[in-house]
Amino acid sequence: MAAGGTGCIILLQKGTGMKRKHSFNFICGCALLLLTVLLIAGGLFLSPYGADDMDAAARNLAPSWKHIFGTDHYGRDVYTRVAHGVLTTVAIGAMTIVIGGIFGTLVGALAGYIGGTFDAVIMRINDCLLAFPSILLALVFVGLLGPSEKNVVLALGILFVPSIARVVRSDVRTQLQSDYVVNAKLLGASGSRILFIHILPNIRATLLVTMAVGFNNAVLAESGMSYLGLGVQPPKASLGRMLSEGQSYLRSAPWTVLFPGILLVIAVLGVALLSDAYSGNQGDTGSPSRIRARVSRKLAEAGYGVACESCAVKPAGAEVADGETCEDAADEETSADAAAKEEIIDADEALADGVVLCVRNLAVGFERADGSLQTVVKDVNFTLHAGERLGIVGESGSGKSMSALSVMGLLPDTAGVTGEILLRTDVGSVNVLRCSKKDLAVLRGDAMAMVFQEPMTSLNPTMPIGRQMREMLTHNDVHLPKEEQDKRLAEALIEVELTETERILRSVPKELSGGQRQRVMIAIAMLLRPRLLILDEPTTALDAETREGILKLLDDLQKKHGMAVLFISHELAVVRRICQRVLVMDDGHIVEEGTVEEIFEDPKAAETKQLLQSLAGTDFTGRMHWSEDAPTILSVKHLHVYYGKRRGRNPLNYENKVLENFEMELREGEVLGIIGRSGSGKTTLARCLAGLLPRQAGTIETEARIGMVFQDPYGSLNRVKTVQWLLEEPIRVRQKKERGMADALTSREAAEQRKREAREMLSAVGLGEEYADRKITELSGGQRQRVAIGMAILGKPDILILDEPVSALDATVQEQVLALLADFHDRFNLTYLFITHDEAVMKRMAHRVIYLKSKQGNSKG
Amino acid sequence: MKWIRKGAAVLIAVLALSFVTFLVFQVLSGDPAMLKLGTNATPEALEALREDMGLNDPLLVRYGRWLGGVFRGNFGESLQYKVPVSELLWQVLPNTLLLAGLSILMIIVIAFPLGLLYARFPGSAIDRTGAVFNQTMMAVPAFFLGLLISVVLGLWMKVFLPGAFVSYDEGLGACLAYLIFPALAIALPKAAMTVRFLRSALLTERSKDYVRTARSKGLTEGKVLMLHMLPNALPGVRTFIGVIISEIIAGSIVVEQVFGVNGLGRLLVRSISNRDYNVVQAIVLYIGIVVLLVNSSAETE
Repeated sequence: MAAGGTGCIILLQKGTGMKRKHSFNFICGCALLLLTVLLIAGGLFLSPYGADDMDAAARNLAPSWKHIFGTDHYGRDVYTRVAHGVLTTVAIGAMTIVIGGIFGTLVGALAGYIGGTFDAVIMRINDCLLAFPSILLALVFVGLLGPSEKNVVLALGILFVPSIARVVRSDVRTQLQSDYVVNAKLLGASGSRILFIHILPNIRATLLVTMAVGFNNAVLAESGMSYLGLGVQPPKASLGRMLSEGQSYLRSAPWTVLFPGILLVIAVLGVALLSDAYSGNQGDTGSPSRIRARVSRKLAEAGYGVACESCAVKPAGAEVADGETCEDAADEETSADAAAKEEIIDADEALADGVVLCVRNLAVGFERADGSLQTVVKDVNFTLHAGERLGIVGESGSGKSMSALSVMGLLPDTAGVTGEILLRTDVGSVNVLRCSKKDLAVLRGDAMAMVFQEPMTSLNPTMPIGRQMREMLTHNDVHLPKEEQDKRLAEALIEVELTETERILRSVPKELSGGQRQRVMIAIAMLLRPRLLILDEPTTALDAETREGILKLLDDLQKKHGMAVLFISHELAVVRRICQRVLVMDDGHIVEEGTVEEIFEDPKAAETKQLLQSLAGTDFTGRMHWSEDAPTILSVKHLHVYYGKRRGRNPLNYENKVLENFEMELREGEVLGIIGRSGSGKTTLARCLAGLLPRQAGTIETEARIGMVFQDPYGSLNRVKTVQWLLEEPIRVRQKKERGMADALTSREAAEQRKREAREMLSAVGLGEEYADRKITELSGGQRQRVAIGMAILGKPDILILDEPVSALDATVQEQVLALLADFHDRFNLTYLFITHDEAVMKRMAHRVIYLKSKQGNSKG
Repeated sequence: MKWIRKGAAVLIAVLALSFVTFLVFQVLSGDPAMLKLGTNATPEALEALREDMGLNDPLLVRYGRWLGGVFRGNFGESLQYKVPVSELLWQVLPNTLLLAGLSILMIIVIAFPLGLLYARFPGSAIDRTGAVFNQTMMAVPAFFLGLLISVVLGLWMKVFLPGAFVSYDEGLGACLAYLIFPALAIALPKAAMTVRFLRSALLTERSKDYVRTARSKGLTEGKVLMLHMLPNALPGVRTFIGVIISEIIAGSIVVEQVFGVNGLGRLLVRSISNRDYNVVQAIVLYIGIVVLLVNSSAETE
């Protein structure tokens, strides 16, 4: 039972993240465990009977005030025995997880950390043991050694080792891959330090949950074995034993079976609920429709969505919410719905001729964990005319995507929304926000369609393209003959300039390139010739060449079919090309609206100016001093890096060539840019230079210390530690190495030095003292990257490898972080190797640039 | 090629399993000659018997001989019943297989509709009530559930008579009718686990981009769930059910005892108590092979 159970739990744990401690599960779990403890205590200390006291005159008595759980066939008090039995069972469970936990963690951590053959062998054995139901193995074990309590504990403990080891091992391996471990390695932390100080605290949560599951499995397995007579031996009380003894008297004295069994369930359920509360499994979020209603109401109370009189629009909040609740309960055609439809048609007169979409007083909000309201879209108003191309620009988090999703009715379940979204359809205008889900489904695809940012994930990975397209044709109960459908699909693909339509219709998404997938997405969206096409960053995830093609295609399609286009993007250049009119959003508001010329030539709002400025960007290269004739501090010759398996005997012939014959020289004080598309080996090169990749041919000559700043500071910084600890870590590692030297510091001096240097760095990267005790999770992206830069510099590097250090940041924050890096260059005498895919950023930072093309050498510029 | 490699891996695992079984039961478990003659036997008689049984041969020779016997279905003789082990097995195996089959059927019939229902309305009253029910079912050990079923359905409602098991060879219909109840005891906790897994697998899919695309095409929630989310969640569920099947085998060991089903589990427990190792080794080997086969076929690449 136990082994498989743990297997299940490993699978169950996937995809859980949030911890919600004071949830329903938490309270119930605590209550049940408290009940168990009270029952045990009562039985041990208050009960007038002993667990083994037999009373021939009181056999099989029903529960009464004298014997609250009754008596068994020997006249023993069931309550007292149950209390002792629970205690025995719990003790066995606890010993099991102590044995299994200690050895399992050790085995798993070592296997995961050492890897290689050791890991493979250990895990093979582990998997074999795990595959078998552990109660079977425990039975055999006890069968050979003889039934006794000690042997049961031993058997269950040993059998628990593999499941813990497996969880720990897989967690350790995942953590080893993450950037924060790479970071710690770069700073010179020792293997045991990485394992025990950096990694293990990060897997504490999983470990605890696995232990709880293991405890339950051990309890269930022990009671099963005792029931079979192979566990705890009589006369000692154990729950399993009591159940098997009581079974013969089921008819005359069912209480001898019921009470022990119920107690067992209570104890196990308590532990299970607590571990669930801890891991956040099935947390009680409340019904989505109710959350939406509540948040919408809060929005309305906060004054959003209340119309100005000239618009003559009623606040929609509460009614929207109620409508949602009804249809969520699965009864679609109610009278409420019918009434809502009337209202929908009423809106008709609100739309002037030629208007396709009118958004009025739109507000979107979410509930924070503490119940307060977070408004992400505030009083947004705009109209879109037939055939018009309207752009919405803004940084991430400005509310532009949320506005687009509300038009489609695709907001996340937990979002509240107020205002009006009037959409022209064939039968008249409708208010999207008051539509039932059923009505919305009719509108989607037909009246409006949407193309999303990520073509890689936006198509169903297992369904053939043809079927995914066909769904669009048939969803509104339109029955076209099969041949007609096939013809339409092929035409749609040809329209988006895809050839080989037969093949594409049969393929699944992974067989197509990113550009092809986005074309398919566009073809699907255009299938029913919608009046309104919403494009949510349709080209952001694509590389420059593909992007060009897609933009041209969109341009052509719009000219041909004349649909209105709502184009969401953070890329000003793209918006400028595609759109006629632009809305600039910041912090949920529309800060400026105008024609493309007005916005780009004569911006009024400060936010627009800032956006435009960060697009142009400051040139930092002049601020970072270097001389052409500086000595070379790093030179790379004939570097080859390969992944995967080797083919044949040639040492350089691998399945995956990432870098071939790469050469470069880095001179002291310069900023060398390395630019290339994703997949061109930029990150591989960075890791290789930092000495983190073992398999390579060629030479890297350097005596410099190398530090590194990663793209995603959330991954490259240890999440369980505070900012102060993180900044102290490089100093701590250095001090450990110096320990034993003549001029080593005493531990107090060392601690003071660490604290002082860390605080200095904190203010140098522009963060106040108050950030010292925060965790990474409480910082913004830009602040995290500042900490990461500070940490890297405290490692006293000569060369700092910057691997896409600003790619994950918004334009304005990008600007600030680049400025910080530019300042630090001279201040700490650094040499930068700046890696990015962003040409604009590169131009502003690098003295010299190397272009990296995929799978081949390099060209210099 | 993939299948050949898989087959080879299973074969190697089976051989390893058989060697461990042989080692544990033929070598470590004690002296079979002593077991046969009892503790009063003279050293000379013991030695003669050992020579006669081939116990003095090298380990690998003994293993080879034993394995050859196993391949021909010869597991030796039961020390307790003095009949060939294979004969004993054939009497009980079909009962256990019927029980396991019924349990799997019940798990699927219970788990899929419920898992889909909960995932269709996550966070709703149905979902939350279901979660409490699930948690409780997962905490109930199968044998206690068996006892409850015996008391409530058997003794109080008199739907069946606990203990009055009819073996498959005495009447298949009656056998199946009786097995419904032990199968229920095995299936309910496992079905609860499967529901929970299916629900969480579906909800993981629910937050993926392609689901949003499907909605943007105007598919109804029900269609999005059945046509898009379910097919993508299925491979994980398949692996999970593989794990569940090996647990059913383990679960049946105890539950057969509760309901007095004359099956493999009951024979195993009795043989362990009686130290009848020839029987134990055959059962362990059999269950091991079943587990290996199920796991390797349920594995997703």
